Amino acid sequence: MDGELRTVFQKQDELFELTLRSSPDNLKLFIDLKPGKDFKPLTKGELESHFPPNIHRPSLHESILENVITEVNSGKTVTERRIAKGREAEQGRDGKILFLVKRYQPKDIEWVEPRFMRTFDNVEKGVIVARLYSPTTGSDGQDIFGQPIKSKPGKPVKCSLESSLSLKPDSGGYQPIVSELAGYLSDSGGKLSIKDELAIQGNVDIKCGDIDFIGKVRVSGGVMKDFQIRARDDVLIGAETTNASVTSERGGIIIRGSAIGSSVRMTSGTEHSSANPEQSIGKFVGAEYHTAKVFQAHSAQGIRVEALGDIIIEKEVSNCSLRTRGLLWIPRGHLFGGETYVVCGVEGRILGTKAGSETTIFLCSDVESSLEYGEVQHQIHQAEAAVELLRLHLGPYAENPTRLSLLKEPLQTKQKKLYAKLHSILATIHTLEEKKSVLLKGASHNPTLRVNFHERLYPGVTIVVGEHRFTTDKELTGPGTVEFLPDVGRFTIRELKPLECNIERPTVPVAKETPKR
Amino acid sequence: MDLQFGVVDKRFLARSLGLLNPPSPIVVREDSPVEKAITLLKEHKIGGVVVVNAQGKIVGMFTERDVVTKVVLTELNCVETEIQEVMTREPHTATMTTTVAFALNMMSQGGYRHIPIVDDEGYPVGMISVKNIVDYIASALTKDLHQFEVSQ
Repeated sequence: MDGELRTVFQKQDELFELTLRSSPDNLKLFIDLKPGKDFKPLTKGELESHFPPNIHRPSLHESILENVITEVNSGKTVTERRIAKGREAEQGRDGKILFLVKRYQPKDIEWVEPRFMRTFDNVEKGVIVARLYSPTTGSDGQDIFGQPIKSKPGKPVKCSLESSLSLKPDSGGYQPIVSELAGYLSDSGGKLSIKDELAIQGNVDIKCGDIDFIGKVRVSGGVMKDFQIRARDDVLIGAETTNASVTSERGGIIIRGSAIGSSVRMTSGTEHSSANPEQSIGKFVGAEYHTAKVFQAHSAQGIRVEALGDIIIEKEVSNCSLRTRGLLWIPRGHLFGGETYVVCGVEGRILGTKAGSETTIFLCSDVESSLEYGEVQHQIHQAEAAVELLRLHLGPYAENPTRLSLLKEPLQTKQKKLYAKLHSILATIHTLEEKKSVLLKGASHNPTLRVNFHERLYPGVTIVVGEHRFTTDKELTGPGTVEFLPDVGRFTIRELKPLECNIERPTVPVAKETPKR
Repeated sequence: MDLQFGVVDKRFLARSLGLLNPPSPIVVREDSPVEKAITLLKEHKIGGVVVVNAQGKIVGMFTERDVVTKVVLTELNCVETEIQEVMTREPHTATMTTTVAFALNMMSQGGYRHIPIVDDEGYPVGMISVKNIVDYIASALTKDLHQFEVSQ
């Protein structure tokens, strides 16, 4: 108990010795009651009649008083029993915003793993990101003498919401603040919004950690060794990337500097070509780029790129594994080493090296590099994963569905639905397999299968179309084109002819503005 | 592309508890009788209530476990005894931006089934239980499976 008790009433006679004491805040009343030599059994009413009038009668605890009476009537002395309790004032609370997600605060480090700092939460559209609480008025209290204890009302919170957030009607004591687009929650001096573009000032390194964002990412610097960027939309990088992994699920990737991988085994002209890029250019650890649109960089060395759109490199491409449904475009640059799978052809200033670096270009079909084919493959894998999971959920009922009817509700309905789902997914897998077969039957190459070189094409360069291979044992001087003629099934060397691409692919530039270095 | 159903991956474990939209806590004043707290547990069918002081700030937790270990089969007078005498003082708390992984770790290490969620000033604003997390994972998994599109 805080503080000493204060005596508020005392009475002593032959019957009993009664003392009432209160806590310093007048919120609790205690009784000491000792039977006297002429003590006669008391009733609760008789005891209360001895209390002074200023004691607030409704605050008295009846059951405790009865217990006190019982004890005293049995000859015991009661000491310091709390018989009344007032009510503290409940102060009004200020209005407030309670954030349910982490706002973007680059300097707020809480994660032990330095590469993963969790500087914000990804927020999908329609998610409650915060709760807005209105101020409360509070409620007055009352002490044991019935005197009111005043409360203070709270103050409203100051904030403003941009159009990317909406305030919903009150639900359970607060108003939900809901995101209207996917991104991260930004708090700029009380102005709240959802940003769908994450701008990193400087490098992606130990100061900001890996990036995993469901919007667009713009990095003014580079991406340091072994760091990753995963974005739903475009990724724009202002400087170099070193052994980094960058993925854009729906957008493109633009790197104004070089994209460099560090774990590539250099090839030489004495080594034989292999259809397996892992064997010919070593194992890629990191240094991977996946994009649903265009991949663009100043130069590329020892990296792996998978792009649904074109791959555009301004300067040099060395020892890379590139896959594109479009074309590889290096108008001012040099391609050597590594392997390139391309549908619409390759154009570069110099292909190969004087030393005869093994450089392989596969002019493959649209199907093999198509999104649709990839999607079918992906759907098949996903459906197979779903089947596996459904079987786990169903347990023995997957093989013996007749026993489903023995289950109790609501489990029976749930399991029956899952069983129906299992069957429909199995049918889906069958359909997808057929679709895949049809696609492969209808696979076609770009009408023109060309590899253009503006200055040189060196020995060591191999161009592959199906079973057909083109190699040269002497240096070719450009401008020129090596073209595969499907009708006659052979390659020809001719004057430079522009690349033509009739394959549908994302060709729209990633973004008009590119980051500045 | 990752093949994945449900939510149990690094992204899920790294997200804030707030994204699970935890329910508001049931609170009881520290000077309330034990009887009131037990009544609340029963009425709301919950495993724990948050105990607050007169300012509304969290001072303790009173859970089913406290009922079993400190109330049942003892001579405790549930009407007369204040909850602050039997509550678990200074419980571990989380905030809305605590990660799911960290909360699970707290529950595992501390043996808790409930963690009160407080705001920056120590006011209780939510309660996360093992059940909340399990329910979220289960519903997300079932939702993913039901939403899986069947190709024609």
